[in-house]
Amino acid sequence: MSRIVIGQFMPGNSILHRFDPRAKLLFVFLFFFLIFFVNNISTYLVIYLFVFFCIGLSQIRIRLFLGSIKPVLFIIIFTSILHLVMTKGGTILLTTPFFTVYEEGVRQAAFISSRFLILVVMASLLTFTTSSLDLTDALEQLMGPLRKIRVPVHELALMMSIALRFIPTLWEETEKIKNAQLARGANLESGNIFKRLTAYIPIFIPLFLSSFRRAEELAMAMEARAYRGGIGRTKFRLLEYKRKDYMLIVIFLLLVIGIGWLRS
Amino acid sequence: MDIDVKELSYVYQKGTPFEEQALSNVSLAIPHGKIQAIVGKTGSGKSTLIGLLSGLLRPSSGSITIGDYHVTSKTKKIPFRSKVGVVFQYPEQQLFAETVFKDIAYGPSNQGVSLKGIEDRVQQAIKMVGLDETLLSKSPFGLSGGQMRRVALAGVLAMEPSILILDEPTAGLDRAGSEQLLSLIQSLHEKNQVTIILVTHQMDEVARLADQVLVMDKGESAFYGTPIELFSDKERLREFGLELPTITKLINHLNHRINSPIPTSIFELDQLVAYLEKRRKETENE
Ligand SMILES: Nc1ncnc2c1ncn2[C@@H]1O[C@H](COP(=O)(O)OP(=O)(O)OP(=O)(O)O)[C@@H](O)[C@H]1O
Ligand SMILES: [Mg+2]
Repeated sequence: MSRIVIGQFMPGNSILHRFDPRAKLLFVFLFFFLIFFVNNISTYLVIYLFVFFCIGLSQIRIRLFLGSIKPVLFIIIFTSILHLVMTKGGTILLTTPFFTVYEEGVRQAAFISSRFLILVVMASLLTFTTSSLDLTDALEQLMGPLRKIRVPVHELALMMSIALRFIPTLWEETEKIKNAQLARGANLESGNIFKRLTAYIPIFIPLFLSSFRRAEELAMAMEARAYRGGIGRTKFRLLEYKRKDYMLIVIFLLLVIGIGWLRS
Repeated sequence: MDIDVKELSYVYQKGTPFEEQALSNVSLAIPHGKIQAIVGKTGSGKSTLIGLLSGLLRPSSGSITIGDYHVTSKTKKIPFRSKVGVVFQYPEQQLFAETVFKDIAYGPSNQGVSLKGIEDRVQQAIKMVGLDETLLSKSPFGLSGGQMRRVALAGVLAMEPSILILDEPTAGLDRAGSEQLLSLIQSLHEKNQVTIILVTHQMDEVARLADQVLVMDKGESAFYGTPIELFSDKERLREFGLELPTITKLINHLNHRINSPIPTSIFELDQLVAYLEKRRKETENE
């Protein structure tokens, strides 16, 4: 039984928590692009330093970041191994009958896994320090211009916030139903893939049913309060850029200059 | 099968920032065939205790002995799961099969009962919960809430557990529905000698059914004894945030007006009526 959901908001009052969510979202978005221009040891060092600095600022325990890396660890290891054995170039470090490890392979493996790690940690920093409500608000406003080309921005944001809101609920519900069927002797742990999938049917069906029921109840509750979409709707919580949010632009520009100068 | 629980503790998500001690040092002994009530405020650890007793959770420390089975924090595979039937809160939400028959048969077929045996058990179980056999071929999702709950109960009874755990079985039922369900539990207990563990917020149910009652408070055992003991200590009841059973309230109310008090150990209306009749006859004879 685990209640921690990956990327769950960790309430706090650090400077990272207090940035405007739109500014944070934009920053992380642009940062992701920047990562792809990082191509040598000194630039990776700069980025690593920056990321660790941010983790420090967030006042969130390192262990939680490890938790969010865990699910992608397999992919990271897998691609690293691929690079180790496939990439040629530079001096030979190791020869075996099956494969040869070149210097360039080690470099590539280290860079690629660093890139993955940094992406995951930055994304976690964003979701750890921003409540899902703020995040969807930010997304809705940043995507606002897309409304001109008839993208249903408000509806999308609403869907996203509802989905985020119900993840823990759904999780709890799954645990409950799973326990109930386990108590009826369900065997979820042994047998081949097909057997295991069929063993999960008694869990999925009640889960679907209760999700539909929940969705219907929610829709009714919203209609009962005369909800009718985004048109002419005013916001209860207004987002407002402050001076420190403009600081993010400066920080980003500094990063761009630093990396542009150090990259090879 | 007697149940013996010694200094049982449970911690959720040990070693994470979300660590939570939900149960600490709870001990209880339930002789076979008794009805044990568990009461307490929300969040006091009742469901956690049930999870441990049903073998779904492994103790963090302490031990549970059920019959010859013994479970501690080191036990790998919990052996008594199939002996303990659990009816969780709102059990109608776990129905899944396309017919009532298949749903009730799910438990016994997991136990490896033969096809013929399953048939028999399903027939018996549906009779026990007082539903009509014609329902067996229907979809459980077309039934009323009360009927669905009985089907779920039948699904557990079909596994023929020697211990039956019920987590707030009457929650969300109307008065008549609760009444029927309680009589059902009572008759099950009398006919089949099953040990029953009942989690409830209704003191009337405790008074009417329980042999022993455990009051939980913040994960600890705050009181363990008979309902008579519990309901005679008004101070502590208030402390636990519990009410008196309706019948005890009535007796107390009457006792304010008469000289020789009616004993508060009477928990059933029939008993009270009989007692009053007897008293009236005595006074008439004098
Ligand atoms: N999966 C879980 N992870 C972490 N903590 C939990 C989990 N389940 C329960 N708890 C915590 O353990 C404590 C006891 O919960 P429990 O569900 O046993 O209470 P309860 O007495 O059954 O309450 P209720 O009357 O509301 O059903 C609560 O503080 C709860 O927050
Ligand atoms: Mg509970």
